[in-house]
Amino acid sequence: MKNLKKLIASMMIFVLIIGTFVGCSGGNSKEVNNDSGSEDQVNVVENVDPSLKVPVIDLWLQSQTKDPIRYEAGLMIADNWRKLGFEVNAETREWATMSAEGMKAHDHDVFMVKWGGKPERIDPYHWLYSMHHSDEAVEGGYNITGYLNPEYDKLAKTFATSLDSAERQAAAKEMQVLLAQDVPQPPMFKLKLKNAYNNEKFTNVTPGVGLGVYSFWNFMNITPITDDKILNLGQTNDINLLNPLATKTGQDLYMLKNIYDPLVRLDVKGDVVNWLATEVNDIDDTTIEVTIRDDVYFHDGEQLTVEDVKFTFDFAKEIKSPTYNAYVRNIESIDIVGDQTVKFNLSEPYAPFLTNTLSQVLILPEHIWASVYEEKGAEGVLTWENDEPVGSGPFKFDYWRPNEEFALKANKDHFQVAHIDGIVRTPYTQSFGIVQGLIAGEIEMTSYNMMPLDLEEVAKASHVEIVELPDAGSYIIHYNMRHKPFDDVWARRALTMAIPRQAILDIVFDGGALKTFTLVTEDNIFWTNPDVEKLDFDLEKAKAELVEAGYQWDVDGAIYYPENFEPTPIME
Amino acid sequence: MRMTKYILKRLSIVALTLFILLTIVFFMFRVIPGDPVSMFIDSGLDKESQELMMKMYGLDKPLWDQYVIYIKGVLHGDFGNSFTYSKPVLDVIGERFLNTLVLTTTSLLIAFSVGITAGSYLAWHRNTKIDLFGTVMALIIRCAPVFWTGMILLTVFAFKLDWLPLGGMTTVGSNFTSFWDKIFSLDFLKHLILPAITSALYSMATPTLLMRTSMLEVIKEDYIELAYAKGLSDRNVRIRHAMRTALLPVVTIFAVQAGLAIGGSVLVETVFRWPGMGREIVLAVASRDYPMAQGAFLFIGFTTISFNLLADVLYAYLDPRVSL
Amino acid sequence: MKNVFKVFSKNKIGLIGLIIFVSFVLIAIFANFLAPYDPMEIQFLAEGGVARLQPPSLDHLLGTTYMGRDVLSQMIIGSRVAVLVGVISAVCVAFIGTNIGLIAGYFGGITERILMGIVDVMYGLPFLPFALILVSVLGPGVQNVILAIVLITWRNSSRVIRSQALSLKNRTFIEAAKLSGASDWRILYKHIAPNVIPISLIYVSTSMASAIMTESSISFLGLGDPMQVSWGRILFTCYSSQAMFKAPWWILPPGFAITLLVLSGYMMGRGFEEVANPKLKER
Repeated sequence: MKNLKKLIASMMIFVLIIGTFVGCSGGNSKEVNNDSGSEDQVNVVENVDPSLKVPVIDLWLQSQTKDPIRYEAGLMIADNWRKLGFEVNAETREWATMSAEGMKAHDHDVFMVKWGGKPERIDPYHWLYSMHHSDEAVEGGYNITGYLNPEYDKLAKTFATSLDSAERQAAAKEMQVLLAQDVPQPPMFKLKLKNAYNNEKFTNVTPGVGLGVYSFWNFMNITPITDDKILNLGQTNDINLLNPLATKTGQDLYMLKNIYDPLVRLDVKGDVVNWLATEVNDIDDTTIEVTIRDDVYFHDGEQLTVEDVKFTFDFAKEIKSPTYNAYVRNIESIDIVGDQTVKFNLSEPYAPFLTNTLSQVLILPEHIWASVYEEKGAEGVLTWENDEPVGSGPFKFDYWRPNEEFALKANKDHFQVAHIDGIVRTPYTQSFGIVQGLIAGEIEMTSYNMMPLDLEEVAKASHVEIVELPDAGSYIIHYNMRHKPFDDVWARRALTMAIPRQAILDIVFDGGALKTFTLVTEDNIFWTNPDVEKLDFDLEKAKAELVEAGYQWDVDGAIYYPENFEPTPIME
Repeated sequence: MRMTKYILKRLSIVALTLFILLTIVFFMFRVIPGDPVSMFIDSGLDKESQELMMKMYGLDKPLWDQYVIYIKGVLHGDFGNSFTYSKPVLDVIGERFLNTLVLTTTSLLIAFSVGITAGSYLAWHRNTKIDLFGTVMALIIRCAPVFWTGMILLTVFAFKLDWLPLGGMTTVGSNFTSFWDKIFSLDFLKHLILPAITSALYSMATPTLLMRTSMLEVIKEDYIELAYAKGLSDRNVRIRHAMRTALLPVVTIFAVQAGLAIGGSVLVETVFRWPGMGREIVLAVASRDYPMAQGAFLFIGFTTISFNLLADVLYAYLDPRVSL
Repeated sequence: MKNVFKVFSKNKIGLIGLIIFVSFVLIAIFANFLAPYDPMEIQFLAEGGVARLQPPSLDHLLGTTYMGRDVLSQMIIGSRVAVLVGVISAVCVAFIGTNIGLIAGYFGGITERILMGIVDVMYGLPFLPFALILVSVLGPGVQNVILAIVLITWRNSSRVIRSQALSLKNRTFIEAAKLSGASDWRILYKHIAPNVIPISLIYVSTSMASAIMTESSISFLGLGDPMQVSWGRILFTCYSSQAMFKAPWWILPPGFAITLLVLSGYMMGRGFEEVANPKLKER
């Protein structure tokens, strides 16, 4: 009996010892990278007031599941920030958590996100107005960083409301200059998107900006070489919902854009071209007249009329469609002013009305949706599955077997007929399957972005051709100007200059991306400003600017504020 | 009569457990930071649209109201609509559950048939090198993480040898007229082999070791000696007499193992991308699809409880010594 | 009962288990000295470029990962999480489970009903899915994984301990203690508890095994603590990179290590079982 007690007692002690040992060593390893490389430092103070210590930075990284890049790049950034003396606590969060607490509630210190370069963002309203105007700096708003700059706001107002595109362009360029020097939420990288297709079966592949080979124009232009005129697509996920008023995923929308027609479309470069509309006239700042074609029919044979156009916009507003809300909320009313003409009356001037509203809202058949509304009410319309969508587009819905296939067939009666006979979209359960499927010939095209190891794999198959297209979106690091030390422009600039861009490109992206210094990426020629300040990796300069701003370091290399410090939120 | 009373008593506990489960799960999912809407902010849901979408999902109401609505719905068999699939949760779960069921049933059948044979074989050859080797192997395989064995089998048989598919449930582009048409097709079988074997390997140790122990007990009994004395062959005695008696405890453990296998299916389903319940729970939690996650969790809980109950009843029925 | 150590040393299975376990503990304690590299440090080739997916060599005995990290160092550092999670959860589980079992068994009545009712409900929870959700709620982090495991697995031992306590409580030596005026708690912990300890020890070892398995499963599903290198996480990284099929040196070691450590738990359990139930020895 006594032996037993001894055994237990010794086991307990044993456990405690392990606990402390393992616990301690756990703590040690975190410090491994904290070599501050600060031997030849200026502004080193021996007895610095501890209350002046720059607070710890909480860097949120997205957990590895979705995108290993953000996680790995984040670790490298944290290491370099530590070299400047900042204390960085890098922790990972699930996407759902990070977006709720950061993107929505703006409770973060700093996190990284990849913003998609969708075609409707070619007009940089989203990047320049939504993400930086002070109106959006509220919970749920897009000004995640909390950038407040009256001078910028003024430019943004002009940019958002002027109908003179030269004036808008000038404002946009000026805004980019301000952003590049204030670095509230600097962009870091844009991907070189690599899509693949089978060049023995199809030719004339026309990738479009933002969507790559999933661009509407590619489906219209791609031309079969053989008798097999059905284009087989491979994707990692399935379609979720075919209701244009309620869907929230891009994948659903790309397919819906083939089934339904908008009034105008954005071409492969993102410029507006007429589609259902034959003419779009700005009568004044808030009145736009649109004339539509008279030869368009829905897939069930009914003609598409101005009533359908008016109905669609009114309906989206009436049932409060979350998908279309941002596009239609500026519309005060719509009048039918002729057999083929409608007039949009806006509540306030909205410059990207064509690029955003008219190109994104898909015209729905009134005769179908009105009766669904009658039967199910507004909430019912939003949860309606619309499993057999009837549109007017160049492709008709054929069938959908969830998790197996989603098929469209060409609409030969459309005013513009595609060269292919149909599209079959297959959800693979993993990206590796897509790559294998492409090599084996199960599928002929994918918009999955090929990773370096995939490229090695497809290089063996001569019939697989890679289409490269720079992404119009970018990886952005969102500082929070409401929190220390990001409320000080000098700290933000130094931290930005401590992002090891080239090393991350080489190590993490393995060559699959490019550096970018403005949110309006360099390929967006009309809107981009290539002459902005480029704060690339330069630890020396970062440190020099901090020294100039009065920051000081203790003997261990930790960074402190100057005495009587007042942050400078933006450059004078 | 006592049996009926016992079962009724147990059923009331089951109902209570399910209700508690439902409540815990409902509130727990809502405690997880994040919501199903803010995940889409980056794809273009601005401030107002976020609110509209919360309203669309019924998440703008106070928590208590949401709970009452949910409980009422469940009592009427309505588990709500999945946010991700925009379909009634029951429809999605029904399909996923069948998939999980097919996988676990197959693997358990493999595990128990191999396990019982191996166990009795080992017992028959007790205290030999074969016995030692077999027992140790069974233990080792039991301790190997199931996702790891799965990854290795996948590498060897699907990638290196290219005999079997890399995952999923059917070949892309295949067309089946019905569920039964699908699961009896060769293509489906090919997809089933690796995941079924992986999870069978994991659950094989229990029936093997149990069968061995049980068989050892039986062999000592007098009537086996008697059977030998009657001049029956070794094989005959083993199968006819010993195995049959020794099977009882193994059969009772089947229900327990089934419950465990369904709860643990998430790992195998993840490795092989099998569209089952376990994988669905992980996806639903990650995308904060509350109704889907709640429904799936409740369903798995329900199956676990039912199998536990079945195991207890079976045990009580087969072994009269157990007091009810 | 007298010579626990002796029994243990005579019991081959238990002894082997103990040896394996102790070796892992030693590796965990001295991990920082043993690991040739920092497990998260990206290694470069002499001719420049990241040392991606290098097969085993003298520089990297177990090769490197896709991000150029040394697999051996990750394995060694990863043992810390496994040992820590295993030992701490096992001790907590056995402690809670034993106490609840003892109290329920000894006091009976309403206390027993409530406690065993909770156990019944707990048994209805599907283990792994519930653990996943708990970790999602609590957030990633080793301590949360441990908490989740403990919250669910204490149920396992309490039932058995309760029935032990039930049968012990009517023995004569307990009656004698009662007659001599000892308080309930004193009887419970002075007289009954020591008799159930061998059984608790079985649960300590098997809970350790299942805790290690659970931790690696959670990490494999991507819900573990990403800042801590653990074996499950190594497998997760390998699985989610496209390199899984091409790098056996990356995928094999963590699995073997988990298997061995889990096995050692069950083997020690078997050893304790023979202490608790000497009849087993005859087999």
